[in-house]
Amino acid sequence: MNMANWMSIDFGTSSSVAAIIRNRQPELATPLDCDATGSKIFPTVVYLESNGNISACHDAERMKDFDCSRFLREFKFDIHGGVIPDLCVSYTAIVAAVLKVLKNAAEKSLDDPVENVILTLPATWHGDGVQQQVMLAAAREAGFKQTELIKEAQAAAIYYDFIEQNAQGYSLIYDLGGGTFDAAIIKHTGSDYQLVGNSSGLAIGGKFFTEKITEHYLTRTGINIDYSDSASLEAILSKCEKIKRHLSNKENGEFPVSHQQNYTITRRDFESMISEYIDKTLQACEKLTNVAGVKWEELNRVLLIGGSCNIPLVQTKIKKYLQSLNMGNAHVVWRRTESGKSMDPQFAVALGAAVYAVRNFMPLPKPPVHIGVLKRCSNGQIYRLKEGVNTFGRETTLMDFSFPEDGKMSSSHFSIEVIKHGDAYEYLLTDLGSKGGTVVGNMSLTDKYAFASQQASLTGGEKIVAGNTKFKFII
Amino acid sequence: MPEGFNITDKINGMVRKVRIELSTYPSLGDLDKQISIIPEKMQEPMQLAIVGKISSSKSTLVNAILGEAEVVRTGAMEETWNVSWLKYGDPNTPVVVHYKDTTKPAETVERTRWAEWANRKREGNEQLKNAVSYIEVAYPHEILKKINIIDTPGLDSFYGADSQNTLDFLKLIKPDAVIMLFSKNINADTLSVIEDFRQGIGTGFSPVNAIGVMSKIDDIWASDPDLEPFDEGKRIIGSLMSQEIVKSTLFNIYPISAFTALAASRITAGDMEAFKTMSKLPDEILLRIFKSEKRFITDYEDVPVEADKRAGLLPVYGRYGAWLIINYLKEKSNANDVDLQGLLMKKSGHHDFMGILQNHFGEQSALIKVYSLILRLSYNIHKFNEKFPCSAAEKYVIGNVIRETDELIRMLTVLSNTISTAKDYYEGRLVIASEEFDELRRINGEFGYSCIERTGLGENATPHDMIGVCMERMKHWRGLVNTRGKCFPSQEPFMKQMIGLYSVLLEDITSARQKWETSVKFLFGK
Repeated sequence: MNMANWMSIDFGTSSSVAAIIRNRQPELATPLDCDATGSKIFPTVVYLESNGNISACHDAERMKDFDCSRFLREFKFDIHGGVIPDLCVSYTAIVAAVLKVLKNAAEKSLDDPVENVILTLPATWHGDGVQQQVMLAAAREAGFKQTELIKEAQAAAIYYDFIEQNAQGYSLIYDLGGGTFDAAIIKHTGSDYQLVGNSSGLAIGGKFFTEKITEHYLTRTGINIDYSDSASLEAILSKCEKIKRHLSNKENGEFPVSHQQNYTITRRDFESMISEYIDKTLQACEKLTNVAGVKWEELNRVLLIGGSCNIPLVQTKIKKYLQSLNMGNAHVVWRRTESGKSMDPQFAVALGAAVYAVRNFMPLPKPPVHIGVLKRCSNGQIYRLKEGVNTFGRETTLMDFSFPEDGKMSSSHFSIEVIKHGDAYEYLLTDLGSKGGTVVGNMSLTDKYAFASQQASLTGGEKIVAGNTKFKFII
Repeated sequence: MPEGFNITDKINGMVRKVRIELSTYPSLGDLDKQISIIPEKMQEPMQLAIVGKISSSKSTLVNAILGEAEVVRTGAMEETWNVSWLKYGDPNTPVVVHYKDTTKPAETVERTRWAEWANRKREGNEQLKNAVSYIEVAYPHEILKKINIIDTPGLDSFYGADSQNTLDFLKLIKPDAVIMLFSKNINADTLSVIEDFRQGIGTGFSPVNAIGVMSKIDDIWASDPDLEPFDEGKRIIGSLMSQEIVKSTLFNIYPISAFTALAASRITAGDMEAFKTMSKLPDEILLRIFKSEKRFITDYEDVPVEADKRAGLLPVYGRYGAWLIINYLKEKSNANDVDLQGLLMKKSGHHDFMGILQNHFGEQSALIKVYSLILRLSYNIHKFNEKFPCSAAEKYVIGNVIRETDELIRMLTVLSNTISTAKDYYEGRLVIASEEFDELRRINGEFGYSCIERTGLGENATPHDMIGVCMERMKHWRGLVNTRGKCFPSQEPFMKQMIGLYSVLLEDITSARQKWETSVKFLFGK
């Protein structure tokens, strides 16, 4: 029998990630339609064609310039139960379109249909809130049979545990993404990952940092940008994003503006622009620990996830903050776990959700069940039982198993009926009116046996005595 | 705003629906209790503070807002005492005196003894007077159930202590709206008062909650009857509003004649007769007697209404009011007193001003009051749902309650974010073009609250046209989200907010049109 396949989806504000499960191991799904870079990222965007079709992810990105008023991006936190009136489309249909692209990619990667999905959600979304209902309905619409939900922070913690094996104590999940900052505290207890508390989500993230550079760039170069010209806006944006990434690796940078002009910026300049933002994230963590009633010194680690943690200042500030609390030794986990194993912060949520599926919804197939046997204690001989009634006695023609050498055994002494229930078997021992009776017990042979007058149900390990012959029942 | 379309009605509608659902399950009584307090909370009156120079016609304005003369006697106790807070209640309720020193208990003084008490304190001890923070006075006027009026002595360098007291008080009370009163003579002094106001109050006051009123526009007419007082008032205001300091402090300045507005509540049959008789006079005679106050009360053989009677009209209607009425009657000789009331309300600027006060500031204050309450309620419902074991039927009911509250919160969030967006803009944190911000104000009903005004359409527009505008603007703003907003993400919330506001408006227009069509079918069978 083939077991249904599961996948996981980290449905992000600006981009999403899908993971499949191969041989019980999580693995990222590759977009069908990605560029040559082989990126595992799916942009969370849709384009609503005038014929009612909804294109999602890379397809949508390509169509955006036909009519940018039909293009939706960063809509995760706009999701509501109704319809977008001017586009006549529900959020359920929009989300479903994105999920469908991820599902198709996963099936292609796995080369097998995927029936079920784990969706990760922000910790700030309530149990029965509208957003959650929309996500569930969308998953159904995308063709998933079973949908299970888990909080993003929990998934990240599970992934950490999967990599590190047996993590203990409290993790602070510091998630600084493209546009939002979320913090959550997770308690690891055995196989459980309890969400102790979470912050309410701040509008802080990579795109705002890039905006700071854009403003600086425009002021320094004196360029007057035409706000209505989308091409030049795009050009500026991609230029400033490159500058930002450059400053994560280098102390300063010089970039050509024109033949005569260069634009220079140092990492220090950039840090002074975003320092206030980072402080706010730390304040949110501080507030979270207070509300959750967990002291900083109780935290075993700070797990950095989200692309913006790549900015050196983020790690510096967190480490400094920990030092100010005399906790310089606390683990700040970024790309490497406590024991030095590698962990990709961008995919931790999706991969963790896949691990969650493996651990909770994909039970290991039970090894095929053999029918139990009786072992004769004196010489170790095995008597294999068959489905149905197995008879034991001194008589040699009618009995399935005969023991003519045991004078104390009755000619038909006892039987064991083997009854199949699904994958398991039930064993029913019946005394067939023997003279000496059949003794069944799981104590040692020298102990006094409990007497089974008529029938006894066997579960394995019992000793059975008939006449002078002793058996052990083994499953 | 008409019934059914304002925030209060929308919230009450939700509360009613939800409570009917909950009533079938006594086990959910705890939720019901939390929901039931919402309508009460919304009924709390809006706090409106009036700030102006002592010489300006403040008491007249207060009376005009209350729609009745003699509520606050001009020149009586309120001027002397720092701040008075007018609330709804039995007029025999004692006056409550609150001291600045909060450890000192409030003192109650019987109404009958008030004049004597106030006099004694006034004469006796300047220090004692300064120790008073504010007094609370009850009046049985219906409008006070909706609007509490906080009358302050105003800002004027002459009355240093009073000015400071006013500012301290406003900071403490945080009224829903503050009215600054101007006379028609706007000069350097006026600007310095605005400056004081802005400096003194700090960042708490901005166009989000401060409005200007230029009272006594009837004086403009009196000084030159050839001037249309509204146009002239608007011209003066226009030049004032173009100044940065004014623009960044006040929502707008409304020209009004409080005196003329007040006359609307005082029209008698006898006066009506006199006006009708005078309206039949030829223009040249009318122009002659309206030339000055003195001529208005002089005996003329060719004027059939006696000088005494005319003299009686003057303190009630003023020359401007009388002029308006007579010219109206010339056009429409069969007009009744309701017509004249409407005329005075409209021509005094009172109608527009009260519209903005109740529809914009009133809605805003209702929103601020209930928003946090409803967010907390929603949080509690979700927690309740997660924590308590419920039967399938109870879960179903809670699910419906959650859907209702979530839908309401979506609308309230859009509206509430408008207030913070406005603050961000006024305080320089949000940099967008002023036309863009004006579009936000227009759709938010700040330039008129009807859908036709909010969509910026001409008077012949149909609901279909309005819907078209909403759709077009939503597309426009979504386009911006995807271009400029991508490059400047701090502007993105504003752009999404515009989409949200048009979407709320669109829902209102659609539901109004539906009601209208159903009504037409019901009334006329087509």
